[in-house]
Amino acid sequence: MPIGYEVELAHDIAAQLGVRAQIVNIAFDSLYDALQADRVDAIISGLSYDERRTKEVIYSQPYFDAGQLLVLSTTAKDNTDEKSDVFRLLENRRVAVEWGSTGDMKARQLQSLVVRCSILSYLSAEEALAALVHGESDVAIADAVSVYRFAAAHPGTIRVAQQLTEEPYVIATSARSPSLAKAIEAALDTLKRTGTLDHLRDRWLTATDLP
Amino acid sequence: MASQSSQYVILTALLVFCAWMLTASVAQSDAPLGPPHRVLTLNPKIGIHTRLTDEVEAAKIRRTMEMVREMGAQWIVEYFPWAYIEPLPGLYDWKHADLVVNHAVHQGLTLVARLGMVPQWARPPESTSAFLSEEHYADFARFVGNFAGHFREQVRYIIIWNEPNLALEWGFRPVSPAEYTHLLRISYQEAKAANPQVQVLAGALAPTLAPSGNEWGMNDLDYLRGMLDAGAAQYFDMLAVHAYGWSYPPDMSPDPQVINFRRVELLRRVLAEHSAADKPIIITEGGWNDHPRWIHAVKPAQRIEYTIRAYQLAEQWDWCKAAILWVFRYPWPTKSYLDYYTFVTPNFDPKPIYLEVRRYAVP
Repeated sequence: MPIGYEVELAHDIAAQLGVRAQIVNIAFDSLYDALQADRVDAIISGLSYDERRTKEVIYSQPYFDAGQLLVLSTTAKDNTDEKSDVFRLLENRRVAVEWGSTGDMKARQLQSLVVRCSILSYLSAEEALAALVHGESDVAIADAVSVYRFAAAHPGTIRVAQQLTEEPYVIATSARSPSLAKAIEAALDTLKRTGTLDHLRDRWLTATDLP
Repeated sequence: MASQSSQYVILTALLVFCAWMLTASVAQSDAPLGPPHRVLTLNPKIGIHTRLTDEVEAAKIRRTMEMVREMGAQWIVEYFPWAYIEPLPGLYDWKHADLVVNHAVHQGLTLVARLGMVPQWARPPESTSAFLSEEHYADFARFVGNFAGHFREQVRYIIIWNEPNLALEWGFRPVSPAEYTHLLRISYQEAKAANPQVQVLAGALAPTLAPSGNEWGMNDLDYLRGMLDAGAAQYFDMLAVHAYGWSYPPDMSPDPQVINFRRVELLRRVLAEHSAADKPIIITEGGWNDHPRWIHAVKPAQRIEYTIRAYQLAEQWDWCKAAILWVFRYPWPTKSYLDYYTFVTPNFDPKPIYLEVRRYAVP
């Protein structure tokens, strides 16, 4: 039986709509085909908004942002805080990243604009964040999912200083089903207002004992 | 009245001509060729597939070729759709193709041209652009010959069709090695008639483990055997191969039941079994994807290591002329796992993989 953040979100939305969600497991590269072929009514699977598809698809408001975050250690002995601009946060700093990742690309772009900023590469985002906690680096850049999971596994060790990029995840429905799209939008409004989306994030991305 | 009509026609024609001249001159002035270059590289087999079919801005075409050269890649593959170049029977529009080829050659790159995509006039209504019935094989072959002749001095390698072992790439008809061999034969003959020096590559097959009788495609090893049994060896100089690694490292041993980078060695073995071992191979697509969610993806660090290792392997294989991996850039974000095959963003921001390959390749 499928489980996960988006599976639970689908069930919560279905409950708002007064129906039962049936989860269909489809390869990531076939999701839109399944929607167009009416094999599914909606896609909730880490989709990004794609303006080129808006003739066939209606997208919801974002339910999660998986963008890149600039992270500091909570024990950092300096006066940087969440209000510092990104250039100040990186000046004279060692930046830990996952080698080859989008965070690495962002760090390399910023490096060319900042004085004495060095990049330390690690084989995973988790290792980059651990390096921050262990004092090997002063700053880390990683995606939101990796940061939330690390924060949960190591409570009180890191804090998010800046969001560097946005990567909002949205729900797609067929353009032939505008009433369903509208109902999902209303359901998302409710889930946001009642704190359910925050609860889902806490449960699936920051719990240390994931099922 | 007749005379006045003629004047209008002439005037209209002149206006169209002037507009065309203006457009052409703007396109050229946007991206002058500049001084000629040559590629500096430590591994002359490095290549990257460009994707300029839908790139309309000359400056971006030039920037693509510059960055490919600066990465230390000697080779590119680019797709030249028949439907774009011959939109009506006998009416050829070479403007965009000229632009791409001129900039590639000027940057010192070796271009492999993939030919395909059937124009509407050569296929039934409601069919896909991969549908080519036998009655139009000669039309396609004529296009191949014209392409080979038009770019006689600039393009030495052409690929006939793409992944003909997939129903998707064969107009959603049952795939047939014998039918493809027929198409390859007449295309080869036209290409050689137009330019005897051109090297004709048999179309790369999609790596697939499709079981026998599968409606969507045929196992690539079986398909190649079928082609060779049908006499294809006489009608290609080299074999194009797609060598995707999926989630496996490039050194993983080849296995008929596994799709990995070294599956190319199995295709070479099939050539050898059919007395065609002398035919070189060019990897015309391949590589790894580092999307965080796609099932066939690897970690970004693995992608860098695997990619560089793949280039090193190709350098060691004397039968492999080049390894041209997928893909340099898309003109726009696909907002899907495909974006994680690219080496630079649509805005030409280099990804770490671009910078690391450049560090490996450029002296």
